[in-house]
Amino acid sequence: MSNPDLPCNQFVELATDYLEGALSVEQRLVVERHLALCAPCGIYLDQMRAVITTSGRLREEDVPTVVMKTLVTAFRELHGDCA
Amino acid sequence: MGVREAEGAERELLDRLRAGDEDAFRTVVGAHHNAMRRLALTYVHSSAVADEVVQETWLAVIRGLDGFEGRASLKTWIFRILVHRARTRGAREARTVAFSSLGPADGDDGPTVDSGRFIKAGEPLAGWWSVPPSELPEDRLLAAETTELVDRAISALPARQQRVIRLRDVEGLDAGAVCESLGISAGNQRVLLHRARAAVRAALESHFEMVSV
Repeated sequence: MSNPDLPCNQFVELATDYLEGALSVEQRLVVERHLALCAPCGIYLDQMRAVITTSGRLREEDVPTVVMKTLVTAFRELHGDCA
Repeated sequence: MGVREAEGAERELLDRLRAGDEDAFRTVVGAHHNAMRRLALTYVHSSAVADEVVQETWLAVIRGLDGFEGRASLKTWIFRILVHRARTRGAREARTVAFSSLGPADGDDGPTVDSGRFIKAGEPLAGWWSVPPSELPEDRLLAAETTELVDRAISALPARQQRVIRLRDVEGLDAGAVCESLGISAGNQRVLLHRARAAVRAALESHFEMVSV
């Protein structure tokens, strides 16, 4: 371990900017060099990716029947008005 | 789906909506209604009001369909209307609701990982992990209880962080669409997203009891 430029406690705060592609080329090189040396930070980054995929599974598509019925009726009536 | 394909699908959906196709409308409602409700709840404080806001939004969407120019995606446009209405309702409510009841403070600064997890300043390798994270068990990540845990962790976030993570990671909007829907800068969006994801990560980690501080 010989990368004093970027300690782990600073790496973790750059994780989202890194995943978002928002770092400068220089910053990205520092981050990638750190990742090559530091397995725990690789795990941290995997955990952040796990948050993203798990959050993506929260989408619920079941709308209560009554609500859907009301909205479709409104669609029929209002749309009829302007068409 | 490629960008061009997605644009084609979106134009087709829009044409069907404008033609009064009820199945197309059901599809759009199905895709966004619950997310809109959750997002509205970060601005207003009762589900009844949130339901009203979402219903008003759908009416505005129906009325606006013919005038919608398609500069933003349909999804971004719908969420922008929702946010505008929810914010207006929320501001009206805030005048009658005590400020202290508006949920946890935003906490947009300070470290997102407990400083006790790192080697203290002044020691060799200061700032490197002293209590490193461990790999999360792949199979348990897919379990229903994990999904519920993430749902609870997101619901407990400060409102501004919750809005960003819901739109980005739950709904899958891109960064630009989120900034546009919420009226925030790209930098602010990233800070809020980072704090939100970091808090959910910490909740996942302690759920799996991988840490023994």
